[in-house]
Amino acid sequence: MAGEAIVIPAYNEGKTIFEVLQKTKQFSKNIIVVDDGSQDNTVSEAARAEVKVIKHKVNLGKGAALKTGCEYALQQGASKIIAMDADGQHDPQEIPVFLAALDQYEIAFGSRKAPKSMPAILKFGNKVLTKTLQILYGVRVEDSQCGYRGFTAEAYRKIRWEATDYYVETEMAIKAGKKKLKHTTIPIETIYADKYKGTTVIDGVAIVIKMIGWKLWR
Amino acid sequence: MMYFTFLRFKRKELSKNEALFWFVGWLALLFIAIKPSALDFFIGSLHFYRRLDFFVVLGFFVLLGLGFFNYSTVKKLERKIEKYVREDALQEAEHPKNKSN
Repeated sequence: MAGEAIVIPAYNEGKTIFEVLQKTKQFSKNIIVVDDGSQDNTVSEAARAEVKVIKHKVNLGKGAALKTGCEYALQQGASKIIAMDADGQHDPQEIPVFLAALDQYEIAFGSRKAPKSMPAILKFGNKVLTKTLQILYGVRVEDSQCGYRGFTAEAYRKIRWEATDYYVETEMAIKAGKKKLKHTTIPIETIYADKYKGTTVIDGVAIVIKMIGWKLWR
Repeated sequence: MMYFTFLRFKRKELSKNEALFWFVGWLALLFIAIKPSALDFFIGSLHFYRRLDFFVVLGFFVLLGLGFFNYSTVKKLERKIEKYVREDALQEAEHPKNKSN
C-alpha cells in the first residue's frame, strides 16, 4: 500500500458505510475501515464494499479505532493518511484536496463551513472548544473537532495520540502545535444526517476539562 | 465479613497476605465497635470535639482513597484492554483466520 490510505473508524454505521465507501473508492483504492465493536451490520456492509476491514472485538472509542487504522496503514507502507467519518458527514470528493495539501504540509485540518443543517448546539460547542484550544495552546486551528484530516506518515509518528475517545482530534492538534508541524486548514462541506451521533455536550465539557488538565500537568 | 474473607481465602481468591490484611482490618473494626474509647487518645490529640466527627472525617479519607484506587485500577484495566483489542485487531488484519474480508 504505497501512497495514501483512507482510514475510516466506524461504530454502528451499517446504514451509511456502504454508500460512503462506494463514493470514497472513486478517489482511493486503499481504504481501511476500523469497526469499533459495532452491534449492527457495519462489518458486513463494509466487507460488501470490498475494502480492508479491521475489527475491534469491543468498543474502545473513536481515538482507539483511528489509531488502529493508522498503525495498519503504516505497516502497509502508506505515506499519507486521510481520516474521515463513516456517517457520510464528509464528502470524499475533498480527498484529492487533502492529498495535494500534504505535498506541502505535514498536517491538513478540515474546517466545517457550518451549514444551516448543523445543530446550533454543535456550532456553539465547536466555537468554545476551538477558542479554548487556541487560547491555551496557541494552535491556529479553525475547527478543533473536525474529524476530516490528513497527515503524512512521518507526522503521524510524531503525533501518535493516547486518547481513545473524541479527545483524539484535540490531542492531535495540540501535539501538532507542540511539535511545530507545518499545517494548513481546508474548508470542507458537511452533511448532518443524524443529530444524535458524534460529540455530545458531555463530551465537549470533558474535552475542555482535559485541555485544562493537560495544560496544567503535562 | 470475617467469614466471607475466610471463605474467599479458602477458595484461593485471596492470597495469604491479602487475607491477613483484611482479617486485621475487620478485627480492628470489631475492637473499635466494642470499645470506641480506645481511640480517645488519637481523637483528643487531633482536637476532634466528638468521636463521631473523627469517624466522619476518617470516612471521607477512606472514601477518597478508595475512589482514587478504583480510578487508577479502572484506568489501568482500560489501557490493558485497549492494548489487547488493538493488537488483536491488527494481528487478525495481517493474518485473517477466515476469508470473509
